[in-house]
Amino acid sequence: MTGLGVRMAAVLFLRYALRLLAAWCFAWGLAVLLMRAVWGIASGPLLWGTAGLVPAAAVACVLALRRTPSRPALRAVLDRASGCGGLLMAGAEVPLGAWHDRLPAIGRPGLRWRSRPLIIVTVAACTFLVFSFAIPRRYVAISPHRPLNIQGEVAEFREQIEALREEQIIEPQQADELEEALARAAAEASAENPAETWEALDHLEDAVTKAAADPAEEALHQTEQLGKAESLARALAADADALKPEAMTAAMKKLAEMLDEAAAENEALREGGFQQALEGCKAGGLSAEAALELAGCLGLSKEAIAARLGRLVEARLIDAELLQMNELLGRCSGEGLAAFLAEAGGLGLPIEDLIEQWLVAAPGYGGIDRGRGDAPMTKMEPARSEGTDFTEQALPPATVADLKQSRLLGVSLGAPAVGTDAEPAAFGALKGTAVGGGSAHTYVPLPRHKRTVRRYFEREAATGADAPPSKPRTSP
Amino acid sequence: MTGSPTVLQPDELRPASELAAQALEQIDRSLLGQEELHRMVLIGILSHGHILLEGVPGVGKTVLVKVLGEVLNLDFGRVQFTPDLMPGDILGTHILQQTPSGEREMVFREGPVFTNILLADEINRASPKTQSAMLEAMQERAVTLLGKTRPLPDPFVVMASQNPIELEGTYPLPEAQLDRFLFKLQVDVPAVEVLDEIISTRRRGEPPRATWSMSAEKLASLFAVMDRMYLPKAVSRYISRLVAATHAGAAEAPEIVGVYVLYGASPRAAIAIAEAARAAALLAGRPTVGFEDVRAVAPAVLNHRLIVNYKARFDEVNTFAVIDELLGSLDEAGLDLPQDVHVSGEAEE
Repeated sequence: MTGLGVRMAAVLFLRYALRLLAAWCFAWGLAVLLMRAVWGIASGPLLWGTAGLVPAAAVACVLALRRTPSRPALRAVLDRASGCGGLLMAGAEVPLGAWHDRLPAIGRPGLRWRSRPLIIVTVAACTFLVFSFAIPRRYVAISPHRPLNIQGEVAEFREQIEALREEQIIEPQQADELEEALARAAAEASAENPAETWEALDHLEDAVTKAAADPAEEALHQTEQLGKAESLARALAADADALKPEAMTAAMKKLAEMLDEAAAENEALREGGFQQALEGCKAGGLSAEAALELAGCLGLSKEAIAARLGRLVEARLIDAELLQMNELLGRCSGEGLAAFLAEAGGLGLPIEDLIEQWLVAAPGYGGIDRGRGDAPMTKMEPARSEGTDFTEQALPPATVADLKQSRLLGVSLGAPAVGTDAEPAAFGALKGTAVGGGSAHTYVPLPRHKRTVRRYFEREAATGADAPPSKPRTSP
Repeated sequence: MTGSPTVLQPDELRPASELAAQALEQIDRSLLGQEELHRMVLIGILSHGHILLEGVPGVGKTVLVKVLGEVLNLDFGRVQFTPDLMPGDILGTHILQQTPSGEREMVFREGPVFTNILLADEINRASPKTQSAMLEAMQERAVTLLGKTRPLPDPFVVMASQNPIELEGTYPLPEAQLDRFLFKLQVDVPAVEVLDEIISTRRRGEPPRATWSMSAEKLASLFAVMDRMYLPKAVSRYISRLVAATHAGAAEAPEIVGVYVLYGASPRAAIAIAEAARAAALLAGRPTVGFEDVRAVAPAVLNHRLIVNYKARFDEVNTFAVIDELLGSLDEAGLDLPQDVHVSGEAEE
């Protein structure tokens, strides 16, 4: 019996110990992961948690002892298992006498414990605990700094800065500074404070866009100048014979001014035959071939500027509309200018004015053109009201207000005078009444008229009844 | 009855045990193929209990009672219950009789209940009024008429039979009367081999007369031995837990009880189990009651005392299924072990 009790206690202890061990392993593993992830505690100092096994074993021991069957219960089990038919149980209560020697052999009842599920759970719990200790910290660390995903924006800014650097729009030092600022913003970008990051990027965008805006504007201006100069050069090359010598000289002078102005803004123009052509213009001896060569040179410069602007457009530093505007401003119309000069040259106007008028002509500003006549909108004088008369018109009287709220205060003493020439009223309260009907029509005063009517009758009473009013009146 | 303070010694127990075995052998010899039924009937008689036999006609219920009377040397009376049977037809009645001196007086004429073994054949065919006339006789073993109580002979055993078919025109026994029956036993149809033997060895099916009968003194000694059968505390505790678990909502009641049982067994059932288990132990030749004795008699004691609900009828769950589940789920020793720890009943060598 003692053996069975010990076996039962051992099995129960083992059962409770495994359950508590599994629970402890799961709980402690979770705590280890938490401490390592949040506070970054190393694995070594956390080994003190193994001390929890001691109280777990103590609790298991207590639980097993409380669950272990009592001696009478164990005796009953042995009686049943050995087929004693109650003799073993009775032996503990009363003397068995001769039956004591006839007791069957007491066997060992089998003790079965379905331990496999518990063992599996315990092994899993232990594995989890080992895992919580062994896993590298970088996999469990919960970083307080969560980066903001701005990779796309950074790449775009980097491309723009590179474009500005390549096009020599900004100095290399300024480009380096911009790149450093961009790198710093990318490194400090945090999801906890995205506004700061976006603000930094906005500053960068502002700086980059401003850096690109001035060269773009300048490029547009240069293109416009080059386009005008090219137009004049091509006009001179196309129809130089149609102009008078004085006009030709003036035109070349004008062209020289334009070339000077363009060269002042674009040093690259001075290379090649530009300088020679400029001298020729200033001397008034620019040949048609030289003018044509000069026009080609100017066209190439325009293309270079357009390519530069295209690079900026690709980098999204300027709008594509600026590129279109650049093409529009650089449009060359040498044949048209030549025809205009040939036609208008005979009018005696100064050739400089004609050229200027032609070059500045633009839709909406008039100008001399045979095209459509666009004109600016002009507002006239506003209309005045002085001296204006209005036709007077009599309006019909208002209808009598609702009488439902009226109250009769009195009736005049005199009889109403019946008119003879009156016609039936066409509107108002007496509308449709018969003329001379003989009955006095009584108006019921409205509430807002009561006081007036009362004053009338009070005054009448004060002046005496012998002095009736000259004319019978009804209340209004 | 709590049992004697000492255990019957082998020389005291052996004669009684052999006597019971001899009676059982005689009954088995007269009626073929119903050994387990005979054993339970003998257990019932040794327990002073009344027995309700349920079976189709012709399976030997009447013959069994007749043989019992012969073997145990007891008076035997039979009443065929019919709807017009009156209580006086069973208990007896007063009749006006002239004495030899010429005076007339009311004389009590005992009814068939004044016997040792009363066969109440087809008891469910009598009216409730007549059935209730049996209540006092069965419980108090006495009959009270016109204010005078007359004890019945000792032992007094009612062996009632009822037919599970032809229920039209019958009156189901009230629960109070059912509870007074120690056992409700099913009398099954014998197997083919038994039928063959009956036909071939017995003329007109008449059983051979008993070659041995028990004297009244021996029967009394048998009952005296019964009183000294020892019931260990663990077994009595098991009986109590078993009966308590037949009630839905009890701590140890299995799920099937909660689902199907409307009313559980009464305390009389616990007493009946204890008494019957003592008799079973005596037949087994043991002075003490073991768990196996309780398990052997529990179905016969409980099956007519459990009242199942309509759900059980719909699901075709009878009381025997409930009792089987109950006996299977309740640990005899009362071990409070976790579900995954189990002690096997067989000892390992």
